[in-house]
Amino acid sequence: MSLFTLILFSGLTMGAIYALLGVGIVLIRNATGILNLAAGDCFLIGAFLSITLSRLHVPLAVIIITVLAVQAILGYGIDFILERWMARATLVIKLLGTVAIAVVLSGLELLLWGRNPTTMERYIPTNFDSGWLQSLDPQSAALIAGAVLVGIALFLFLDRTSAGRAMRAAATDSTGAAASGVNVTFYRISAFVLAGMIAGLGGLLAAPIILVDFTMGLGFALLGLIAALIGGMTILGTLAAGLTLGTIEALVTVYGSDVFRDAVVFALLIAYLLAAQGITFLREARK
Amino acid sequence: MTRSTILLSCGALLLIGASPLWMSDDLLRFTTTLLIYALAAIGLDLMYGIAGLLSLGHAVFFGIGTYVTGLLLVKGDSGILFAVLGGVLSATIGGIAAFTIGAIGLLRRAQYFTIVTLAAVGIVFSVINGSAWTGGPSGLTGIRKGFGVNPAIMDLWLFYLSLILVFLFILLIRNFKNASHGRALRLAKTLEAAAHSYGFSVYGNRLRAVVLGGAIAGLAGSLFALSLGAASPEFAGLTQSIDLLLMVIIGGAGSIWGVIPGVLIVRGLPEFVQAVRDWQVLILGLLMLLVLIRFPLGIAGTLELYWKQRARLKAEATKPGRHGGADPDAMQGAPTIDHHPSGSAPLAATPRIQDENSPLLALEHIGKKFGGIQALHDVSITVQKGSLHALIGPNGAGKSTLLNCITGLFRPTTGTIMFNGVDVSALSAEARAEMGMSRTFQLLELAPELTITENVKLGAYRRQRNRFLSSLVLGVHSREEVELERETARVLAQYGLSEIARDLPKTVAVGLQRLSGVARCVLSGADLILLDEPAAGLNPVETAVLGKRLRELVGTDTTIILIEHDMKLIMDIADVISVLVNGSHLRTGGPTAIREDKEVIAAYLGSELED
Repeated sequence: MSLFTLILFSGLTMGAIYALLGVGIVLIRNATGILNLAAGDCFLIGAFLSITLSRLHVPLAVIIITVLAVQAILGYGIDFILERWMARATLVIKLLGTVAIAVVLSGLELLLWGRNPTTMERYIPTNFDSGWLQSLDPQSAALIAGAVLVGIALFLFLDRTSAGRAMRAAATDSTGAAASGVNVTFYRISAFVLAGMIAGLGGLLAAPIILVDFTMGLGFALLGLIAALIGGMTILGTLAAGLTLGTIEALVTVYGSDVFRDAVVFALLIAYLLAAQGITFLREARK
Repeated sequence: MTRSTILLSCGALLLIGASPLWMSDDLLRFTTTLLIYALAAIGLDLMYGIAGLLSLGHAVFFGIGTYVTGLLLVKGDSGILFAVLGGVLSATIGGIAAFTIGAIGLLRRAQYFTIVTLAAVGIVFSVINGSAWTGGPSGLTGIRKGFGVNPAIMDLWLFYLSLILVFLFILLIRNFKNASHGRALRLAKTLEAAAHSYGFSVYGNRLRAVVLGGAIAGLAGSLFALSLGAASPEFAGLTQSIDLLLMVIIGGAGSIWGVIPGVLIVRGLPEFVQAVRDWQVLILGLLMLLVLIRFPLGIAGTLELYWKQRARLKAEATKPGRHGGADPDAMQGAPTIDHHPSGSAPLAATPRIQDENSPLLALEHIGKKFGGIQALHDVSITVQKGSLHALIGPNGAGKSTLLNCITGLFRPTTGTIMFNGVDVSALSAEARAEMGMSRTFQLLELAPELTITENVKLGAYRRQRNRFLSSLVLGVHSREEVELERETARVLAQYGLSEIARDLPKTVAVGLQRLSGVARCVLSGADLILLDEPAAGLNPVETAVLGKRLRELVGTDTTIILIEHDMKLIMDIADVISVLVNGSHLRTGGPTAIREDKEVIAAYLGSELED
């Protein structure tokens, strides 16, 4: 297998994490306008929880159910803080609220899991036995597949089912949707719960692949946010953007310089923001 | 300020100022770093607390400051001169970095600034962390080597320098907050469009605030490098940025001095109480959440509020019993309004056109279509200078639409608008305001975070001549601010608003909020004031006061266009009345003529005049 394929694969693996976080950020942003910077710490909580449970030799199925349940409650709690307790705050202050939640969660991680980076034992042990897939890590493959499946399933749900359409209606025009009998509050909470569960799933899938520690949350949230922004706040766009972002990172690390990996990604974001600003400007100028 | 607070603050200052006498060397050095963090946080509070721009990358400027000074002293030469040069360069480059980030981040709405600052942390941190010339992850050391100064003496200098800078910048920025530009920046936080309509350049002034905040942080970074003798990439990292933010939020955003309790909690607590080490992050996060949910003003702001309330209660207890409502002096209409105080007044009034013959405002064949609906149809009305011209008509007659066309919020579909003999049809609302129009809105537009006095003062923004920097240095002590304070107090008294002058709009009756809007127009010194239902929500006594004031205003050569449903008020004070029905101009004439006009009665007045 060529080096290039390997790089591509490891890039897609990280990209899958960004995509999963990004998709959750898109759900919450579309439902409330808030950019959720606590997403990365939700992801970390999922990862830490999986690690602890697996060390206690809890069966995988139980781990999955526990993580998803805890993350659902976490998502609900975040909604409660931002949309009940801080309901009348401006968007900027709610954004600040997500930062505060991120700090609280990372404080919990520090308290419960300590300062040292840690990881999870692999739970998909078999390697693919034949052909070019042989040297690929099945654990990473599961993560990539998970991200793609979640993205597509979410897209189909929002696009094709009546519940999904109601959710989108509640997000785009809450008063209009409420007037036509859509329970806006229910769908808003659903967005938070769903985003929490997706982040948890990401944590569960990524825990055996990466080393996690309590300081990483905001960094991951930021990369998810970049994926969501470049993906135009759409589900499939974010999926593609996240995977691409991871790949670019990996390519820069190997062929460019490791240290400028982040710089390139963030420069990309700023270039994107400027380009988007330029397009809006041109569009308005033409009117 | 009472005598006890003055004594208390003098005592605290003495204690801090004399701290080298009672502190150990280590404690003194630590206190210096606390002061330096406070200085950096002041820059952040200027951005967030005053300009409303949430930066999650403030450490970028701080880190740049440490590295600029560090590199200069390590790679260049050592010595006092280079240290001073390092400070200046650090502030400058911090400001340039802030300019770059601000210029991009302010292009879009609020949350985008935050994203750009986050991206900036990513870029700057990884460049510092990854470059050979910055010393990579291990950073720079030996910045203080070869200074030739006794380290203890140098620590002492740095302590006093930091102390002086912190107090200087607290004073300066608080001063700035309460003067022209700071006031308008705080307005723009919630009501950006309103800020534009006062002629305030939101983008430019936000950018200035960001640059100043970045420069302050750069200076703080420079001091930090000198104090520590080392620089590390973490100084520019995300954790450092969040710590600075925690100081500002917990301490009290917008209060500026809140950075002191803030830095004590965020940096002091874990240093002095070893037991909280592992709990530190959680505690700080919970504190921040608590502040955001329950005490949005933070420690300093909540204390200020408490002191203010206590002072007011005391004042009310000592004052003889008094009836609420409008100021009785004002109701007897004692001093006539001195609308444009002449002589040495530093507040320049807008120049008036001398030509007395031409009408002030001429509307010619104005039509306005919204989609298929013809809201206005061929309206031609002339408004004479120095008159009180009322616009009446049933609901939906197009009165507010016409007002919006005059002030430039709407572009009429057909027709021209001549103001002071100039065709203004194609000009923006801002440009028309610049030419001397000022208006109130049917919906309330007072900034929720500003007191009634501050809201009213905003009306005079256009007449103020202070620049961003002069309002930073002189601030509330500049001649024009002192003059404005006096003028505002006078206008508020005349409109019976003195009692509520220090209140926030949300605690004030809707009618009085509207009246505050009128007072603000008065203070703008505009030639033409357009009032949209100013008497709605006022009681009969307050309405009578308003009518009297408006007559006095017309007496000083100001022209008023008034939309109102209170027929008694209109008939009492209007010089000329124009009637609009279904978007068309029905009649214009004096009150008596209008009252007796058959068509007007049939269309509109009939029932209401019987009351």
